Amino acid sequence: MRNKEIIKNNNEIKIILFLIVILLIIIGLFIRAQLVLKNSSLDEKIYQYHYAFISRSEDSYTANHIYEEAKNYGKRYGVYVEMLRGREDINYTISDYVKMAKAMKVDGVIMEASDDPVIKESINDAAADGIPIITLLKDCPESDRISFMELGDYNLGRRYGRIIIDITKTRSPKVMVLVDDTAVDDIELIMNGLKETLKNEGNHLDVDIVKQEVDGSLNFRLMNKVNDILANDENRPDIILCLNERDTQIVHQTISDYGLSGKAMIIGTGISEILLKAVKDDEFAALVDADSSQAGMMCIDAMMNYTKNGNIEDHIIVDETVVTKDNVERYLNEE
Amino acid sequence: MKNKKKRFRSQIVSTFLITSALMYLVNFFIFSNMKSVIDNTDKAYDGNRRLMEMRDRLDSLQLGMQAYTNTKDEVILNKFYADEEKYKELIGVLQHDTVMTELQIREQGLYNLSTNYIQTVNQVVLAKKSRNVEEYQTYQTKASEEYGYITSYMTDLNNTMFQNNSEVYKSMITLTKYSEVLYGAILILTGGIAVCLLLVLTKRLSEPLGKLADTALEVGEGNLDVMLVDNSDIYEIGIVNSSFNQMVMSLKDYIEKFRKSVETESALREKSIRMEASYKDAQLKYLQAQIDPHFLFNTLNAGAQLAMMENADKTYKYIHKVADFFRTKIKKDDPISTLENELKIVDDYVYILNVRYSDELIYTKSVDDNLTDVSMPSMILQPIIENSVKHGLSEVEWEKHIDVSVTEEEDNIVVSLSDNGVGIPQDIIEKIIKGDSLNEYNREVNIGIGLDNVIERLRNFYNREDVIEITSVGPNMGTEVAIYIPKA
Repeated sequence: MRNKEIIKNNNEIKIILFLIVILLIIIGLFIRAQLVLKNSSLDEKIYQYHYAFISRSEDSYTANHIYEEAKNYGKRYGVYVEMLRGREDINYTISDYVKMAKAMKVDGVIMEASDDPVIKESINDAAADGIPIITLLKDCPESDRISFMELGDYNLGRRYGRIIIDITKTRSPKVMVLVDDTAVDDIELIMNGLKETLKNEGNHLDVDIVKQEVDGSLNFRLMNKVNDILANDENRPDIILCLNERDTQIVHQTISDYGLSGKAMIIGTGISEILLKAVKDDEFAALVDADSSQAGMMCIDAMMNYTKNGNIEDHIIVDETVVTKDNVERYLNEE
Repeated sequence: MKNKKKRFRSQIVSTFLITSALMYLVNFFIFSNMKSVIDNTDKAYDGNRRLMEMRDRLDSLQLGMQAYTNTKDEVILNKFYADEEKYKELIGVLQHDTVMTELQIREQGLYNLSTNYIQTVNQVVLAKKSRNVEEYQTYQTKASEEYGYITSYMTDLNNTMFQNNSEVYKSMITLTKYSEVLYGAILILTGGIAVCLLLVLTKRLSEPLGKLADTALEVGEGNLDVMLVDNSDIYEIGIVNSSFNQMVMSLKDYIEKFRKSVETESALREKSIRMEASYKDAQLKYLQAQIDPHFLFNTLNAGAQLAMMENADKTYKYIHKVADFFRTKIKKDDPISTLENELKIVDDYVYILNVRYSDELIYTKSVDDNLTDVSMPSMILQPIIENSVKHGLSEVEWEKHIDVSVTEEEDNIVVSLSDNGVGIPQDIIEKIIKGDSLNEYNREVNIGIGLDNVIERLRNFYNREDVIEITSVGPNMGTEVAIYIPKA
């Protein structure tokens, strides 16, 4: 009888203990949920370095992807990469952003530059304050930037050549290369690479390469030119090669506006959402741009190496990436 | 193991304290959490508010700088310096260590931009003061440019912070909703625990009381073989239970004692009845043996008077003794006599016998007179002497002795009646003492009042077994009957 009483009492104590345990679990879960909710809303990652990222356009697909990659890659090494943006009502230039970065006393600047003297001056000012600058895709020659990360014109030409070999449907394709008169210096290396590849890897083809100079400053002139070329059945090229993003966008706009899709195979340079859709819709045969993942990682590695060891190469060559209908979905999904 | 019991009051108080403490703790937890959630929600937009304040002060500083360059007014300059100090104070919170979070690193950027700007506007003011037009215009342009950068960066940072804070706010709102359910669950559980504790306490109190009531009912119905098991850890219940058990045990003891006393009383009454019956039996046997003792006594008295008239002294004495003997018998209705009377009967009896048998019996008596005033059943010694004469000495050829002595031995008075007759075989002695086959033996020897009657009356009277001892060492070696009378 005594034992029964003890067992009964033990059961009651067990029930109370059970309730207390549940209570403690609920309180524990509650505290945990509180902490998770608190922490999930903020990135509490700790950084030691602050690099500024400056792109020429906030809408640049490649620049944005390089920035995202650099930002994510930098997290691993305690580097916070910040894309500098201006107020919507003020149109800041690259030079303004460099000045801003200088005033912010960042630890480094990764930027899309140009040979604009104003940009050069701002780069030199920042460099004079001990801020290392790496130019990306577009260089500012003669400036005090520490390195230039580029696609590599010769390699780019080789890549164009391989694309032409892959997409051509005739043995004697006529390839028209749109040459922007504002960037003539880069062209020769690209052309050399292109020709070399066609000669070596496309020796079964008889490719006719025509350079078509276009006005780099006025968009409508290019549009008219492209329209003329594609509308003319007799001299129409089989393939049109655009060597920069601006030309590529204008060509796409012309095709869309004048209904010229399918008149020629277009190889573009640069990636954007519209262009990716154009590839998907067969308006474009291929797009070529820098490998943003590689570029993002390489610029962080290069900057870190310079910060820590003071070593960096003057030119860093980044691989290019090619978008065709076969892999366009992946890029569209990323977008 | 020592069972440490608590008082009921302390159990109630401790249970109340535990449940209260539990409720207070839970409420404190809920309250502090709610406060934390509310505080966090309130603080969610603190950063934005701070930035807005900075922005206002920055605008004021910029306007002050521009106004001073236009007017060179000292009042404006003083206000400018006040704004500068205030702005410095405000941006102080933006300065961080070398290792920072994303937000801190951007705040640090804003801090650097701001300190740069402050330096520039001061240069503007200095240039203006020194009337260096070209320089102040250059610095003014630079300051405006930097003001633009700061506002631009501030706006961007503000947007980011707003986005982050919105997330925090959203989280806090989610947490608040989540909390409502959890607080309810926690309160219900806590209430459950408190109720359980109270139930345990009331059960601890009510169960033993219920058992006590049931057991009391059983005891009331006459079942005293119940005991309360004291398994309560309440001190007062323990006391009540043990007292109840003690009470039941006392009741049992009392009833047992009462039963024994009734039994003893009835045994005594039974013994008394038996003694009376034995005496009546002896009397009856005498009455049977002596058809009319009164007639015989009167007759003997007449004979004695006749003998006296004829001067026959011996005859007169003899008849007188016989008459005395019978008178004693007749007078003694009382079953209790004294040793002295009993010895007197023996004297008379032996005298009568000696007259009858020509002084054949040599009667010796050694009596301590101090010991004869002791009570004893009547008609005890004479039947024993009668037995000795009839069975022990009747057929012997040698001189017949009967010796009577009264001595003292420890706590007893020993009355010894011995003869030098044929003796009694040992087995017969044992049977006589045990009371077995006595009737048969007595019948066989045809005695008046048998030894069985004598022994039984002695045992009943003195209420003990070892009241008589018969010794006969062998054939023709005589017999000794010793009666042990306890001293009063």
